[in-house]
Amino acid sequence: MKLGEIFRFEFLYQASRVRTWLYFAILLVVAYFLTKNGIADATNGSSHANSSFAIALTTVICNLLWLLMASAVAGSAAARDVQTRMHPLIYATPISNAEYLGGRFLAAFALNALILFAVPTGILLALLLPGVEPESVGAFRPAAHLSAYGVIALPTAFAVSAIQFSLATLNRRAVMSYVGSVFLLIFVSLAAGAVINLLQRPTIGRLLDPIGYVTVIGVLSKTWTPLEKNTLIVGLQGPIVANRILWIAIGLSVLAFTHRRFRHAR
Amino acid sequence: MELRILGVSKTYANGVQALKNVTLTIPAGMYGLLGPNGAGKSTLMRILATLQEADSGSVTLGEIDVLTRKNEVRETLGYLPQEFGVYPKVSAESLLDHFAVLKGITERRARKEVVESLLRKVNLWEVRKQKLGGYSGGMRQRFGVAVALLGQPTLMIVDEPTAGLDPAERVRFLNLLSELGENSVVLLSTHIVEDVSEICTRMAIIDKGEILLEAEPLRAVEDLHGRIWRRVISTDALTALEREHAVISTKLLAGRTVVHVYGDSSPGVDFEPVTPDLEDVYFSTMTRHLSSRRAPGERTRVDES
Repeated sequence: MKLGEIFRFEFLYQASRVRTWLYFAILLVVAYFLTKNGIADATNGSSHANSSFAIALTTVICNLLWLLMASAVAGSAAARDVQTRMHPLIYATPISNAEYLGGRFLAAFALNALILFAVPTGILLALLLPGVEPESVGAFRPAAHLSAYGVIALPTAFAVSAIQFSLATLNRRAVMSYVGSVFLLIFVSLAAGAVINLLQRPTIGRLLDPIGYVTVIGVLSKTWTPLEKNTLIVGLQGPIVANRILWIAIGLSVLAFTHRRFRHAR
Repeated sequence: MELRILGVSKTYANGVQALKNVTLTIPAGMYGLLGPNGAGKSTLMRILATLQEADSGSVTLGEIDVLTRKNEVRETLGYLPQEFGVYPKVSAESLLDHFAVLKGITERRARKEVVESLLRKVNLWEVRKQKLGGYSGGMRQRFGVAVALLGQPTLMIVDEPTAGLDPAERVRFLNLLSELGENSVVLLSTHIVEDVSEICTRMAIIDKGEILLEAEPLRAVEDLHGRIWRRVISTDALTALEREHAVISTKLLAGRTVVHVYGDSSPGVDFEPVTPDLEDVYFSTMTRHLSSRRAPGERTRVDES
């Protein structure tokens, strides 16, 4: 009950702020134009603009943008009490750490899931609005959209929100969520790249990538033929599933650690 | 219901000893904790409000161990911190409603009634739809009062509550507290003597982390009868006077200095006796002329000079 109330209040507080919908609008516009661009390219005979691969690619690029742009959502859910100095009022109420942190985190995750929903919306708008040449798109396949959102975007949102939220909670500062984002970004480009290219361990390198960037762009774009890109669904391949499970587990562990370390009293 | 504080000490990481072996018994009713800024009042209040750990000692509220069973205390706690903020982009009504759920008032209709009656009590009903970011300091303070009063707390901790209030708001607030004090333990910390003299039936004076005096304000004033002497001097004569007499306080009056001196008998012909008030009790205690905490064998209330 109290967890539900904390979730409800936090979700509505941020959902009624302009900032949240600005992130949504930016992602929608970017996804729209990436897809329009793909439609123009597809007329040259490469893979379809609405192939699962193209949708996954757009999703990954938008996730990268979201990672840097929207860190304030989790940061603010985690640290607003301390930063507005309302924390002595909240901490003196009979709520458990699990209710408090759980409600706030789930709200941040739900808000990020909502913001990232702009991506499939933008993609679908680009595909459905007039001006699409029939030969550039294949048949409409809901699974392609669902897996991009469900397998790529949502687990990323979960793991990244958990890391941003935990850093901001334990440091009592919202800006730490941005530090977490930058850290994750460097992790993607450096660590994963180094393991794949220098150590020649692509399997491990792909696991280290929290947003699916390395796997989708680095691997599938090179190894899949245009026919495969048009017919296969991105998201059900072993390396991607393993990567997603690993990052969900990392997210859960980080949250468990934060729950253990968090103290009202100092 | 009774709050018992036994031998509570607290030293901060920077070496400051905020509380030294504090022992107090606080019955239901209005209890004033009086002391200057930095005396350790807020530290003690935060410990009682379950927001800070004590290094040693014990605190019990009725049967509840306050230091270990924090959530049980929070069920029945009202806390108004000395300093606090609020979310700027939400209305008073919806934030108070949120706090009401957190305090355990889950039934919707009951909550609506509680929220309305409290907003009326603290005189914020007319502005309940306004965003808290636009509230003045006094309005925000009154909002904090409403939060603290949620759920009829049996332990009410209010830390320097009157500092940001104008005179009318202050009277209103003290009345609200007195109402609650009929059944609950209400502990009010302040550096303003009038707060205590107006509403508290019991009080303690704290300085540098130590309780110097535990008393009933009326009796303490009575006990001081015949021991406070007054003299009006020019300001430059003060240093000399302080050397010879137990000066407890000085006040300016039309460019001259009014000196209050503590003494069992008249300090001299230039002095006239004063009917003491709580301020004299406070300053006699702060200058260590008055104490209820002497070592055994010593006479109580002796002049040290």
